Amino acid sequence: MLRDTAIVARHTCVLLGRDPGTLIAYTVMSSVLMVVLHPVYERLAAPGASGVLSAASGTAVMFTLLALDVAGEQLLSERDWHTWDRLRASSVSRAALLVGKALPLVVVFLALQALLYGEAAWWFGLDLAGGAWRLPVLCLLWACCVASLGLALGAWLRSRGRLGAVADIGAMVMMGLSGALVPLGGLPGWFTGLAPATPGYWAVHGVQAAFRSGSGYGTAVAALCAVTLAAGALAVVRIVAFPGRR
Amino acid sequence: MLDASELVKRFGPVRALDGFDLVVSAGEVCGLVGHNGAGKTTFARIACGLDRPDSGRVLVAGAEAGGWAAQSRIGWAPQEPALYPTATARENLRLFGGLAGLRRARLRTEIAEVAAAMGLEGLLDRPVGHLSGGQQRRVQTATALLHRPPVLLLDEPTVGADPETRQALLAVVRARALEGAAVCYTTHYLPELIELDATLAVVSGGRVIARGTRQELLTGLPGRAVLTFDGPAPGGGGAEALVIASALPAEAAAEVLATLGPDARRLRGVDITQPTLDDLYRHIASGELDRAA
Repeated sequence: MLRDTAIVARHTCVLLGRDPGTLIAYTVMSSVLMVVLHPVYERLAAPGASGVLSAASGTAVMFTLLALDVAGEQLLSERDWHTWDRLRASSVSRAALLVGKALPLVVVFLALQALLYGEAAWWFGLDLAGGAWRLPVLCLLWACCVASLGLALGAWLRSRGRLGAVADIGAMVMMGLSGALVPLGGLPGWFTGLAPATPGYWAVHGVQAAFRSGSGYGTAVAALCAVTLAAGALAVVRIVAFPGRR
Repeated sequence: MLDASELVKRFGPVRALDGFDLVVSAGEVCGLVGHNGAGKTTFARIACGLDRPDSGRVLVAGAEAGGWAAQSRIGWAPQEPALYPTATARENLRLFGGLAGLRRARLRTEIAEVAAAMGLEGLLDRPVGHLSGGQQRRVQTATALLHRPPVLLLDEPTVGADPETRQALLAVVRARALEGAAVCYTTHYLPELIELDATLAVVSGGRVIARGTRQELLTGLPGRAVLTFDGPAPGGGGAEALVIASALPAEAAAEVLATLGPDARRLRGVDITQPTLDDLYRHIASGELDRAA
């Protein structure tokens, strides 16, 4: 199982590396946008709160969400290329296939977040030590959550058009509701009630909690774990229960 | 080696397989022929574990199809191209070989060997999407051969291939059969089956309706003798050619020639044709149609 997972993961890295345009664009755009949005976040930040942290966490969540379709593509392309049946006809397990697909995505999403928090530290003086071990754990969970959501979309949707529409609209809604695009404090009050329904909210909230020494951090971790597992289960159900439907 | 018995598979109201029986022994190349929709691809998908039969079973080298053991003992090259176009040929081969259980050194060796056998050496480091259709077909077949499985399912591997590619593919298939693999070879190009010295399984209506060697199946089929004349052929109804259908066309032609008399001076040519696989297929298919009517 481990060996098969490693083989699939390596091949997924090859495929991601052959078509890196979207990921490079998201990385550059997020990096620039954080610089541009930083003053806005500073102005909207609550007294005593860090505008830099809001800018970094908001941008990181926003652009990993935008990369949902990159994750979905990893499964959808397999069906377009007819390679999914070849993989299924091999002796590799479905679990190894899914994990092998997810691992490189998790690494990519983790790297994107690391770059943004690194930039915030280097450019705007964000004290990463304030997040201690909680920040990397939260970033890892968020990366797993987005990879899992993307693979679920790729497993259930049957065309690139549908994937693009659902991923883009879903990402925009989640970005808006989660406070990643604009801090919740600057939005109408009824938004605050809806925000916890989105995983993005828990990612933003969790990062800020990580720097506040833990208040609300556990809830954010639990919420992200729950969404990751639910999305993963959806992908597994589609692949195991209806493997032949194209 | 490959043993399918009493397979039934329905897709809604359509019975894609309807009592499909087939046994292919080690070292045998079995040509699976039949019109589109006859059930050949459905059988291949069940043997590979991609679909489950409604009833019946397939054993792949002794293991039930669909299980881990069966899937590691079968090499499948499907009809449509199924490769990663952005990855190179070598990366495609490395993936499928690796998933078939080949380790580093052996994987490298097998890739080099199969590439040499199929004329892919110069193409290994080019993205598959940049290769021609025939080259992609060779890469696809190579992915099925890499781990030297005891059972090979090749679904129209030479479609769109140029003569050179076709010869390379046939040579490799022959070699694998000589090594002991049971090969199930689907094609519409019947002359390929002669080159492979394949036994035949004619599929129609979701089942195998004729099975045997070429000689066995052709015995009793009429061949043709065509006698061409200057002017109307005697007894030819005004046509210049007299066509005689017979199980022994040469003897039948000799008998007619002996009775020609003065018309023999107008004889321009005699053409004897033994029954072919095309005749066999047409004969069986028309019989099926007659029964259906």
